[in-house]
Parts: sequence; structure tokens; C-alpha cells
Amino acid sequence: MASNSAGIRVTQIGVSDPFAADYQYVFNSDWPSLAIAYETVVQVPYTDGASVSATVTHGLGFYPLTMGWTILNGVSIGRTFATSGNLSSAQNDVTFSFDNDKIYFINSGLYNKVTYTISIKCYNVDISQNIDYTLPKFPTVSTPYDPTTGIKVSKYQKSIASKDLNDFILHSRAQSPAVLSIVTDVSVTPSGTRFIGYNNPANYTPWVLAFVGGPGQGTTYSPLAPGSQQSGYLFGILSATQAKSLGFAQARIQASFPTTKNFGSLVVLRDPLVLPNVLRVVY
Amino acid sequence: MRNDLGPISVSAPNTSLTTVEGQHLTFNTKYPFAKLDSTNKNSFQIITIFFNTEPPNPTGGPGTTTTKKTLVYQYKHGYTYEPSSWFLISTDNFVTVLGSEGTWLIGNASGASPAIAKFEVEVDSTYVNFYIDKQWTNTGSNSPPNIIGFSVNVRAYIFVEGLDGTSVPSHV
Repeated sequence: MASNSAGIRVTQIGVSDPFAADYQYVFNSDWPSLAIAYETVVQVPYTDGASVSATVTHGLGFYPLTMGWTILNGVSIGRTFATSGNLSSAQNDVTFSFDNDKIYFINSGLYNKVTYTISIKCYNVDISQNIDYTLPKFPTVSTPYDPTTGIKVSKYQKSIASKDLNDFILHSRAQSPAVLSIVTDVSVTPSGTRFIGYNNPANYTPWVLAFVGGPGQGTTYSPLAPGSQQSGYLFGILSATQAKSLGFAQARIQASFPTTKNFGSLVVLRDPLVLPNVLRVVY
Repeated sequence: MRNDLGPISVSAPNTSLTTVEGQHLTFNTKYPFAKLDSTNKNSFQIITIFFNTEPPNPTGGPGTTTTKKTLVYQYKHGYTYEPSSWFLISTDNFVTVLGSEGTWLIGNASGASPAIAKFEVEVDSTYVNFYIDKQWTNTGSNSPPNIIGFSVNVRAYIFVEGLDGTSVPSHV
């Protein structure tokens, strides 16, 4: 349930603000949803042995949550991460890192010595700062979109009557992942292993993004893919039950070698306040 | 007036819009939100693919390494351009997250395994495509990578915003 603090809250018809469950809010400014502060598309050529193949300036002045998508022959082949043995081969060709001003790309050409197109989005979240928000409850019933109530803000010179969601800054027909927590604290196990961990009080498995580096170690962050050792780090996501069984945090970045304090960040996201479409396929 | 705020902005409790920074600025209409269309069922899905039959195997002879990539499922994402997308992959209903797009189902992540099966996700301007990409080094005595009986769970976000870099208004 929402707090009584000031803000913008829009509930479904028939539900009053002080009594609305979290999923009954069409919009609630208490939860910082991901907004795109900067984006670009960059060509990253194979540059044999170069330390940087391409650089772009985001100029935001903070360490933004940054995502990249690798595009080959006009098809997105997945998000761009630090090199990992657990990614498809071509995904390992281009890696990137970023600081509070620029994004740096390397095309190693391990698999294809070609120029890749990388699409970049920097979200308006500073991943170098710890923060924790109240935890919205996810929905238990599916609620259809109601076009008669809500909030929408169109982009400059776009019509408020447009049906294209691309024409809007904000539209309550759409949901955005919101930030639950950013964790940069480092814990040390008795064996000396350092890790950054998060446990979800609501017990469901949240969507978590991981970055290593940053001001605590060098100056740039790099994104990690979940599930494998990569560049000296392990990024794991487990169910609450499995985490308790194994004695791990539900989400963790683990460094198996001595490293400095604040060696990375976990960004924990809230699911949309709508139920997913569940589909079973037999091949 | 700050130039990094849109027409409507909200700061976190006990902070001031005149000085607030970062995530304490909880709402700011200067920047477009990343949007999942609640009326598009494909925008947020959990898809389970059960392999009741074996996708085709590489067929190289002894002493060779060959590959075979097979489209095992595709669906229309509902847009006419390449949307931004996120995927998480599991084989145990997310008790453990195995990886993101490009996950290995069989094989050692070091790349040294003779039998490898990867679950790859590609998104074009119409479809989300799931592939099984196999690699087999035929030693003469080993089997190709078989995934029959596997269930692969995919958690998928398909955003309204495309990958062409045009979501943020040009006047920002």
C-alpha cells in the first residue's frame, strides 16, 4: 500500500488512494520507474588489439544504469555483457564499460571480425548509490487496462490523442520496471570471499541486474550476465527457497579474489504490476 | 529553474526538488519511461518450452567439430521495428537462473566441452526467435548434445522502445 507522502498517484476506478493495494495503482510516483535519460546507436568496428574500439559521451554526470544490445545483420542477438563463457559466441565479441561521462566499447573479434551495431540506453538511475524502496505487492488477479482513467504525458510535438506509445513520456497503459533496491555494500565471508547480496522480503525471484567496477574499483562499470563466472566474478540469482537451502543471498555478485570495497552494484527491479502471460510450448 | 527537470517532477519524501539528485527524483517527465504495453500480452511473458523431440544434431564424422542451429519457437512481438528486450532463462522454473539470452543448456562454460547446446534468442523487426544452437566434436565414441526431456523457462520483457535510438525526444 502506498505511503501518505506527497506525490502523484492514480488508482483504478472504484479504489480510493489510502486503501488501494499496490497493483491497484495505475500510476504511483513513489516508485521510481526506469526512464531513458540517454540513448544512442554506435558502430563498433573490430580493432585488432586496441584497448578501446569506440567511445560515446552520455554526459549525465552520474553512473547510469546502462544497457547495450548487440545487433548483427539487422537482428538483435541479445544484450551486451562482460565476456562470459556462458553467452552465445557472437555476444562475446563486443563488451562495454561506462563511467559518469562516457561509454567505452571493445570489439575483440573473437568470433567474427566484423563491425557490430550496438544500441545503448542509459536509464535515469545512479548505480553507485545505495537505495532501498518500499516493496510493492505484485498482483494476484489480472486487471485489464481501462482507457477511461489514468495519466499520460506526450512527447514534445506529439499528440496526446496518439495511440502509439512511442509518442509518450508516460502512459498508464504501459508499465515500467521500477527500482526496488540498489546494493553496493560488500560483505566478507569467513573464507575471505567478498560478495554483494540481496534477499527479497517478498520471497519471489526479482529481476536483478549486476555491474562490477565503478568508483570503488577502477572508474568504470561493466554489466554482468547472470549464471556464470565472467571476468573473475560470479553473478547468481536464486529462488528464495533455494537461496536459504544453500546459504546464499537470493542475488549475489561474488568475487573469488581479493578486491577493494564497493566492487560493484546489484540493481533489483520490481516486476510490472500486471500478471505475465504464461505460455507452454511443446517442441 | 533547473534544466534537468520536465514539466512534472516529484522528489522522494523529505527531499526538495530544488536540490534532489539521482534516484531521490522519483518522477521526472523530461525523460521517457521504459514502457511495457499492458494491452500487449507479449510484452511480459513466461514461456516454457518442453522438448518432446530432439532438435537436429550436428552430423560431422569422427574427428570433426560441426554445428547445427535450429529455430524451435517464434512469436510476433507486436511491433514493426526491433524492440528493446530482456530475457532470463532457467531450466528449473527459476529456482536457479541459468542465464540471459545466449545461455548454455549443455556444455562447460569454458568452451572446452565436446557437446554443447545453447539457447539463443534473437529479435528482429517482427519476431522473437528462440534457437537451439548445437556444437559437437565427434570423438568417435561420444554422443551429440541431446536436450530431449528438457524444459526451458523464459521470462521475457518486450518494451515499446526500439533499438534505433529515437526514444528520447531530440529537444532533451
